[in-house]
Amino acid sequence: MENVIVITSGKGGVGKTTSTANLGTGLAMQGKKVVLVDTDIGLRNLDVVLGLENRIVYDLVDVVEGTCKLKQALIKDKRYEGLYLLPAAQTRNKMAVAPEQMKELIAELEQEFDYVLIDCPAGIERGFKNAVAGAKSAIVVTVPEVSSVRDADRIIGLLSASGIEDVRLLINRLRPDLVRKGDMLAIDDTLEILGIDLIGVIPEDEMIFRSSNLGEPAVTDKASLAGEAYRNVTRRIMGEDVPMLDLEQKTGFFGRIKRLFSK
Amino acid sequence: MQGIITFKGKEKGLEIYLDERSTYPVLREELMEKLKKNQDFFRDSDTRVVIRGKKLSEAQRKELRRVFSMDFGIRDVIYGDEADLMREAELKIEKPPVKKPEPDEYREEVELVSGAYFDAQSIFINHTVRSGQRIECEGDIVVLGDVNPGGEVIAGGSIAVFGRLRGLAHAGCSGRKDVCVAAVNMCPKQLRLSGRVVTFPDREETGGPEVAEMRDGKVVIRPVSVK
Repeated sequence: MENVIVITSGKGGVGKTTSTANLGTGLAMQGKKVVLVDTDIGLRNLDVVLGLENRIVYDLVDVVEGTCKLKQALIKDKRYEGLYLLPAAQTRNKMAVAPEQMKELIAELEQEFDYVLIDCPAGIERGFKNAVAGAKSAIVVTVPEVSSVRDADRIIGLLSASGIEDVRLLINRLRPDLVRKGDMLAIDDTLEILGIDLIGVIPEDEMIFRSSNLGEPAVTDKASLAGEAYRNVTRRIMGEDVPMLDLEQKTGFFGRIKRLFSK
Repeated sequence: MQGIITFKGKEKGLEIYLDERSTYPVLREELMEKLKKNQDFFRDSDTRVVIRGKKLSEAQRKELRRVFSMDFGIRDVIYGDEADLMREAELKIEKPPVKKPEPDEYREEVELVSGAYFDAQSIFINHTVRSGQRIECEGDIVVLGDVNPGGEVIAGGSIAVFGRLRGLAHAGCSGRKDVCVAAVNMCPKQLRLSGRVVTFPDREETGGPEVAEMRDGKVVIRPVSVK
């Protein structure tokens, strides 16, 4: 994939921010220099998921308005070499930034970093337009549920209209047991509707709640199945050919036993 | 859009030239635009308007006449060929006016059919129609891809989907009944043909390509068969 990637979904609550945090951290763990840009102005929470909330001084709107330099607003994550966050403003709204300004900002970041990951807000209005303005590739996050898939479909159409052709699908919160019973959309059904390439499937994992609350992305947890899936997606972003996780086997009885002992 | 309609002031009134290469819907749209902009031009309702250029069908002529008289108060609208006839009549009064051939029943029918199809442009969509996208066309629509839930395809004529139809398809949206919707995989939630709206049962699998069409006022689905 290209080096400037927007992570988007249309629908809210499907895991855009969690995925951004995990993929960004994953890329940094692979030795890349990464910046995560939170474009959800007014409803920021990427900083919380990363555990960097207390270090914010300046934000994206300050940079765009010229209150501070770009370097001053970037927060360096001390745990991982090469991981940076550009937080969103919390007291402003989406109209504080225009797509052209975002484009300039992203172009500037691109000079400095190996990867720029943009966390897109829910919706298809100004916030979405800001987030995709400077992006070259996109990861569309969806949960296996009809309303989310419908919104993802809309988003893929809008991305293509804004000239972003390299669009991959990330299916989040899959529960193989429910799929087996026919209570959840299967991966194939989702792919059949959306018709774009899959970059990964993240299983539902209780660890994610814990890690979000602690501010430590699951990708760093060797025992977490979701973490393993995110690590694989990270390598796929970097262009490696990694086979899909066999969730069926891993979430089965023996998989759980094995996992118990590996902790 | 520049230049498909030309206005020319003549001593008796106004001459409007419609580009022959354009289609009627485009011309009508552009004409309305221009007329609205120059409304005060037509204060004098005695103005005679002569329309030249593009050959228009009887129905189209009627429509333009109505627009002129209702919206701009101009009743004296004549078309190029008629104007020529009139001039000839004015110059040589002794000569009897050229008699138009009386249209017989067969011709009438041909005229009607060609009028309906001639200006209807069809479009070919070379991608999947996704949620939130809406394709509209006065003529027929061919989609090379799927129509996803939340996507809409609205045609004055027929619709063919070379893929799975799961969104909304409306054929014959302006009232034509001789239309159909064909799809390789016909599984919409709802289908509209002319004025009829039919809901579909849930079906994931179909036996192959199918066509929905009107038969005796009812919507009928049948498999596409080679006859």
